[in-house]
Amino acid sequence: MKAAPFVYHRPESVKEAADLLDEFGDDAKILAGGQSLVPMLAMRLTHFENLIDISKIDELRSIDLGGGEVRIGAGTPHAFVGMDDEVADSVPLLTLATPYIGHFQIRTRGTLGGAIAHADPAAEYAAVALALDAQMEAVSSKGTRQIPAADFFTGLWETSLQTGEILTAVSFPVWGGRSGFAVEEFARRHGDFAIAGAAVAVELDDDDRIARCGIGLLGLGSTPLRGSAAEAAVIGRAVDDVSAEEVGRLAIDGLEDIPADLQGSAGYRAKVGATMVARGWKAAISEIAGTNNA
Amino acid sequence: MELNNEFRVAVPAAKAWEVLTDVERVAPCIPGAQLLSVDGDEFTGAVKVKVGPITVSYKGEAAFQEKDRAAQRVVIKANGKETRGSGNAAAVVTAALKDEGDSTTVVITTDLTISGKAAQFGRGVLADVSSSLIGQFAKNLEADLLGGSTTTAAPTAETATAAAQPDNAIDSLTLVKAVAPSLAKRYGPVVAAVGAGAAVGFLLGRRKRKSPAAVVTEDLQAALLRLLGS
Amino acid sequence: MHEWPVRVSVNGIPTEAAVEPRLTLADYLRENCGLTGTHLGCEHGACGACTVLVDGQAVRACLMFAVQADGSEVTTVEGIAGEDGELSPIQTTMRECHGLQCGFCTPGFVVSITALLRDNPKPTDEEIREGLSGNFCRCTGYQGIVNAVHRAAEMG
Repeated sequence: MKAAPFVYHRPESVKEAADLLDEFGDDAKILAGGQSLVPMLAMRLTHFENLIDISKIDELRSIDLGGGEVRIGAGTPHAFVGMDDEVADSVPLLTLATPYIGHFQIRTRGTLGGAIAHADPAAEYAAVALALDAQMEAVSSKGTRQIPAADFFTGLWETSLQTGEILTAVSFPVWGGRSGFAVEEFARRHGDFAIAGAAVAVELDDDDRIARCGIGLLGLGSTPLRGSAAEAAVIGRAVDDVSAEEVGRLAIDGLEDIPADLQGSAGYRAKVGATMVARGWKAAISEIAGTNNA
Repeated sequence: MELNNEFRVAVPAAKAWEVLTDVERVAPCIPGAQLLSVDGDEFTGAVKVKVGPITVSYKGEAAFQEKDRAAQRVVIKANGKETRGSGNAAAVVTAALKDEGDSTTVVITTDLTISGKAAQFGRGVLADVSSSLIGQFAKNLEADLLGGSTTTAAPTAETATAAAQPDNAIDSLTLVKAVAPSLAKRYGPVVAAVGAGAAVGFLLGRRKRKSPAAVVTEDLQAALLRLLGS
Repeated sequence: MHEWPVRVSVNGIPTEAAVEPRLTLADYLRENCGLTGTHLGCEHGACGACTVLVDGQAVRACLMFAVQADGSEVTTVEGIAGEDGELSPIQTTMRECHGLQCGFCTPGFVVSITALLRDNPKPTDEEIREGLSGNFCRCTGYQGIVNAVHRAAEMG
């Protein structure tokens, strides 16, 4: 199938793009990498009269480390995020998540901002953004605002971006201290949307107690989710007292609306999800242990 | 691929020659570079380069192939492997000095073979990166040469590292502040030293950039405040 | 219909056309340029048969509009062999190792592998399988293709 006709715009700056959004309102959609949008247009699952192509706007392609965070321009392709050495050093969760996103040909065009603004419940970067309490930067003709990740994902493919707003950057905090990170995901075929997955960040204090924890869940709801129940249950406890299975179970317990479809029932997804969290927890904790021994 | 650059320093060729044939004086001028060891005309190091939006780190070795004083020509052969990745960067850099009395023009020809992360960028981007690196290097070199031998002495490895990035110093400093306390624990004393060195280098670097007679104390104070406070 | 001018260099040859924005790069290459080596398998980015290089990087031509490739250099399977028709290492080894039967998926594989070997000249078996997970083949069972990549890496 081919996409229905649309009017194409190619603004040269974020400001121009924002003005176009003001002009066309809900009849317009931002096109970045197109790896999620174009299939939907081609299969005629959705249609927009105007597409605003921001894929060539240079100011949106950036990776900058500073002030305790890594700020990534929304137009930065996944491939760049995944291969950047500063990201690998400072926000390893992004580096670990990247290989799970589709296939390398998809990662060349798909953008971090696009993935987050599209807000698929199985989006890896979205789960990472939630786990780390990232900040989303949104720009409109009225100005700029910062949206915390916790407030960003509001429903299936829905975000708190208002009409006229463009996601321009996402800032991920850099964790220090004794921290470990892991991403675990299960899909039938490599590159498929995950059946369930988890992004885990853990920090231990000097007494081997859990000081900080961020668990992002993907594929387990209509939005990416935070495993808050599990996090709350482990903070302050000695790491040896916490079992991975317990963390996995707690993260999934109480999740309502676990999706059920041809890929799997809700019960199946819940089990896979708990296992992914458990594996992620184990891997993250051993990373910290490994650093100790090094 | 062949990349061509040239720059000018406001010192006579003889002085420029001195520095360009001395690894321990050249290395600190290369942006993002860290000298790890020197063994006569051979040395090892690490360098972080920004190619397009991404930062790629390399680690490798280099050696002076040629130091022809009569012809005023230096040839350095360098080879680096990506620290995270399987790519490789190999370069043969030829620098020819042209004596212009009180100044020297240095013509640099680089024969670059690259694979891995940086290879996906076209020649245009790589040429831009090399121009920017060499432009930075030239500025640092000139500052070093004009500053005189006192400020170029780099007694410790840390300070050498830090002084490698006087222009990127602001970023280094922010990096240090943000990352050093935590990374120090994570990766141990090495990074803390680099961090501290970067901060020291920032101050040294700032001082070097102005002419000796006009050390701007406000700059120094502002830098100190940023280092110590907020 | 509202048309946009597009200038794309394809396999080193400049092309120019005025096209509907909704025309995908894959269709532009096949229909406007007559280069039918780029195949349409699923047209939603999963099968890899449409993979081409845009500015050196492997992309799904079915997920890019031709207008987005304006000003870029595109390499299709037709541009992989040398000027004199000499097969590239991967083309040679695909033939030697029986990496194709019907050949429908082959252009996508050849282009993807070309990009993979350029970025990782000595891949492990696992890296090869992981890298090719975005290209589907219904005929060969993949082993011949993986062998071809190993051989091409040795050659290169």
